[in-house]
Amino acid sequence: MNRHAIASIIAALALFLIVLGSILSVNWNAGEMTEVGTERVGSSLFDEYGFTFLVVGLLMFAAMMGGVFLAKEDDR
Amino acid sequence: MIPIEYFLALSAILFAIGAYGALTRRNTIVVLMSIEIMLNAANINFVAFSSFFNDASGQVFALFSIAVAAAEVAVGLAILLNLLKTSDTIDLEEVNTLRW
Repeated sequence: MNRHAIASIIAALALFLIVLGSILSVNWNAGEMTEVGTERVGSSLFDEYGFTFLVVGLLMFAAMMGGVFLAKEDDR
Repeated sequence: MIPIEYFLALSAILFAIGAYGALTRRNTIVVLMSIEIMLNAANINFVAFSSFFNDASGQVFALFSIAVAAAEVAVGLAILLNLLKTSDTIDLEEVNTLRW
């Protein structure tokens, strides 16, 4: 194991311990686990976040175009 | 009933594993998979908070996050194909030029 891997292990462990410590030190004030339901998720997706949904569709279209353009075999 | 701290701890573990993989691995595909693990850790946080606070917005954001991850992987794999074509390797240590 080289120095790079050891440094990465230390960095990842430190990150995990810091995040875990901050998770455990906060009083989340969360109630019980509840079921939100697909119906509410769907209506929230189209009512509250309709425009964002359109923008995500545009993003995925652009990503598809970019992916096809980058990956195509150039036949000459 | 599982407390919310367990979900957040699972997410932190996943994020640390993904960060370790992204920092150490030299294979580009494995690095992409590690980035996906980190994105999924964030999704677990979204869904956990959505479920515990009974708010649908978190799950909607998780859906958007999955869509963005799919777009990112599509472009990433296309770039990877081009990289393999131009430099005959996907080892990240070998790829140290921005143009050729």
